[in-house]
Amino acid sequence: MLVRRVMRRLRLLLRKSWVEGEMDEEMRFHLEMEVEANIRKGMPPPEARRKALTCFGGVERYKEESRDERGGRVLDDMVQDLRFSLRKFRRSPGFALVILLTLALGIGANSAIFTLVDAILLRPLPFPDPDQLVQVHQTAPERGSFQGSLSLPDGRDWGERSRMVAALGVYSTMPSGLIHTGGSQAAEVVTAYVSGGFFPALATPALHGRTLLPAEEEGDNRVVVLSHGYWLREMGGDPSVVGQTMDMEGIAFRVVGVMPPDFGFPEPRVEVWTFLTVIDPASIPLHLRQVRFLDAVARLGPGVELLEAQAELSVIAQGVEEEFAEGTPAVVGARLVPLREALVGDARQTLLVLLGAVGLILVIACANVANLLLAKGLGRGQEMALRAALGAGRARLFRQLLTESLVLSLLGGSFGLLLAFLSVKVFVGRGSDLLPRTWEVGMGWEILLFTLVISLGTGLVFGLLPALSGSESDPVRGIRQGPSRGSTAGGQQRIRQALLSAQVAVAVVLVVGAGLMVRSLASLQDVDPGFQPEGLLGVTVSLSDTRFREQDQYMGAYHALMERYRQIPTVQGVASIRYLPMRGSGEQAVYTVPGQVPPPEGQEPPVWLLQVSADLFQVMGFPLLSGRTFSPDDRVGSPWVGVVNQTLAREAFGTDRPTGRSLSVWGNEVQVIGVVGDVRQESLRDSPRATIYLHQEQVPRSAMTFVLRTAGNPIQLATEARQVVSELEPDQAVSAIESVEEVVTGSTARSQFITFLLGCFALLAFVLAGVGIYGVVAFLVARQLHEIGIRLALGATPWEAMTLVLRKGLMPVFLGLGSGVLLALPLSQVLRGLLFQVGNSDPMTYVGGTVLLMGAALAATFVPARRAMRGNPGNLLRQGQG
Amino acid sequence: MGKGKPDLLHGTLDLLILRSLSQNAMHGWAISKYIQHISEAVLEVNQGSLYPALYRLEDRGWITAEWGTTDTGRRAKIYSLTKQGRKQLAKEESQWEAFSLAVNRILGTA
Repeated sequence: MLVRRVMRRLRLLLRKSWVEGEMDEEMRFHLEMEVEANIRKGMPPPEARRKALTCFGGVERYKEESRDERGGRVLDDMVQDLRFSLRKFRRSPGFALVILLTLALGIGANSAIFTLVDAILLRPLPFPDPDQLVQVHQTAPERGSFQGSLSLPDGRDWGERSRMVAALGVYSTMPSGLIHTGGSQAAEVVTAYVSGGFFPALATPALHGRTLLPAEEEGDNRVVVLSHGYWLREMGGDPSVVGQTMDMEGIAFRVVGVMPPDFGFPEPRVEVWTFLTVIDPASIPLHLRQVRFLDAVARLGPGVELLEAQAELSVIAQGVEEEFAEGTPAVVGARLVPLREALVGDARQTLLVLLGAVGLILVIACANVANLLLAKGLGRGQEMALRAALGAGRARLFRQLLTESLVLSLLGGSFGLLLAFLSVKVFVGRGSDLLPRTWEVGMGWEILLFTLVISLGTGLVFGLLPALSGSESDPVRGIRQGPSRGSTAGGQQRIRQALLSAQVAVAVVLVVGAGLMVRSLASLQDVDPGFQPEGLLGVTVSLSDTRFREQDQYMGAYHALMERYRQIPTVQGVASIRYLPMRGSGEQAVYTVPGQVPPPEGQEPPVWLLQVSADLFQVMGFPLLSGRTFSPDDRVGSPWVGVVNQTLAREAFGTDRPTGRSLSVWGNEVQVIGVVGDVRQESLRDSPRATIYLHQEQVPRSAMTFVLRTAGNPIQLATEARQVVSELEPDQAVSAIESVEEVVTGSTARSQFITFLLGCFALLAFVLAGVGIYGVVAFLVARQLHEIGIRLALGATPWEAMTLVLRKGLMPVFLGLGSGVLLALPLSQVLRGLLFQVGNSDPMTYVGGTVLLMGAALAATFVPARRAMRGNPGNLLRQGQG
Repeated sequence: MGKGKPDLLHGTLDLLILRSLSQNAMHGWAISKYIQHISEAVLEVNQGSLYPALYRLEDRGWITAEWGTTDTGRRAKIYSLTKQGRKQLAKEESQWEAFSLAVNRILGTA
């Protein structure tokens, strides 16, 4: 029955002209029969025809009613409305373009941000059964440590003893990777060092060959698995490399497999995976249980809950500690975090803030478009009235207006999708390291669906008000009053003012949010890093441990390199440091002050150690506040000396001049010989940490960064600096050459990124709100021309006339500004974690943002208001009547 | 609709059309004349409501239409009752009887 009816309706729709013809014929037949009957009754033919027609009534109206009854009407109308809408837009292209642009920007911004949210927050991780994967931490509550790392023996014991964990692996990318020595030039490859449980835990099968087997970890462990990207780039994507060998650090490593393209764990930049056990214990004693710096990932057994496994691992952790601890065992435990959460980290907040911002943009866009349509609808009052008079029902008018809105929103959505596609592409190309999982970003059907849904939703929201008020037409009043004054104008005016207020309020929220981020970024960039990064080039070299077993061997190589660098004419100074600022805090340790009561064990204050050359402070511009720097006598074997930073001097000794006192670190007594000013070593955001600088001749390290000071652009030196290394040490690799200034500014990249996006959104909101205000005021002026004309004619000054308009136009703006500030106060709390040295209720920003918007409102109001002021009363009166 | 003639009760037009067609297949004009004639000119069917009603009944599947020729040799759309229409007619007739009985009781004529 239903099917038949639907089929019939479709047939009706498709054979429309035929059906219409039938209807015409039937009605004509009826009339003719009537005429004949009348003639039979004895009327003259013209009279008979007239009588029949009067009797029959409005043919068209009955036809219309018959069409309603025939069914299939909704479909039929839709096609008609669609055609009509498109024709209308063609007739006023400017109006349609403004609306489409507004919608494209509003919807496009949402689709773009949703694409990121989808890839980073929503999609499951690219591993089999990803919900069973967890990141594992060791906790030591007494020491306030809840995110602790594991050691290689910890990882092995935990994995073996646990029944709830199917596999547990530890891993690290280390500061430096293996050096590929097989090719023409030695190159460092980005290496992830893993334990045997790593691949079984992740459970992603290799694309070619196999992954690393737990059984290989000891013994014949010189095997590597290649990333898909590295394999394509370096091996030309040849599957036969599996089974062949690669020279790493002069030793042959066997290639056992190639991973699939979407495998990028722990970091997408990793090029090869190998065992932690290939690392020489002389350089990093990984076999020691207290060497805890490895991250851990585990796969929970089927059906095992995170909390159950955490409880079990905590017991195991404590058991291991009691079994192996030297001295009194500490209280330890385990903490498990879903891997997805661990990977996404604080990007969640960034993304949700951005999603909120684009949501607000869409609200403004809706309000704006609704206002434009209302204005247009008012001009169409007469058209609507005419349609109503011709027999269109209210529902029919409503449907027509809503169809127009939906056509607009779907068209806008399509453009928006295009915009989103382009902007996401640009983002992935440029800012991929600003957020996690960006290598997974792509546009799938979810994005299409999302865009479709918000487009339709948007169309309904902005279309409903104009459709409701537009379809309310009272034919008689509508036609009589003409186009300039619609019948429901009073109500509409209130709706439009409310929309305007809402729009301004939301714009305030966005402008304030962006303002806070800008202020925060400015104060972040104003932070004094504590040294002069301009003109510095950093050259990071790690001399391979296998060739330079002895300290004096690699120190000799360093000295030779430094000497060559000094000979470059444009180089004004050369020094070296373990980690550049923003590239590492140093080696973490704890200290005690001999002669002071030591704090209880496990509660010693932390300190960070950085090895430097004697002239580093002078070359990088660390201010030496007191004492001296290192001398050639401070070398291996002589008593340890250290330069401390101001934070440590004050913390440990309560003075800026502690020269001659000493600290105990790693069981060594370190005599303080000088104090330097605080340097932001970790990041610009974090306050300086207690740091001891040690002489690299006394505590040597095989990986160092040379710092070259030049007068010009340091990057111009990069090629020469790299050549020096390949000339003197052809087997060794330069792992990074970078401008130190760029390292410092680059450390604020994430803040810049969010600030930039929020700034764009605020600008968009600002422009849209401006357009909205202009539209409403222009409309008010147009409506009041008549009244203004009368007032002017009766002797009101132009200024008084303008005040009249301004008052009505600005009232909703002020209302919006006020409620915007009230709205922004609680909403801006979501920014708290992202802000630096700026409170979320920073008065300057609120005042600034409000004043800015008020300025825009005044400007947008002034233009139409001036029209009212300038006109001569006669003209105004005539126009007003129009 | 002329003065002094009762307005058709809402919904009764369907019943009247179905009833008319239960005797013979007819075209639209004939239906209106038939109702007028049988009711002795008391009930006059407005053409404006007749055709929408016919389309509605057709859409519900109670009547079908076919093009045929009248006795005078004219092409006309002829409506006839379907099986479902017959069932519907029986239903509406019993409803009407119940209704008119109730009204008559109130008026005290039954």
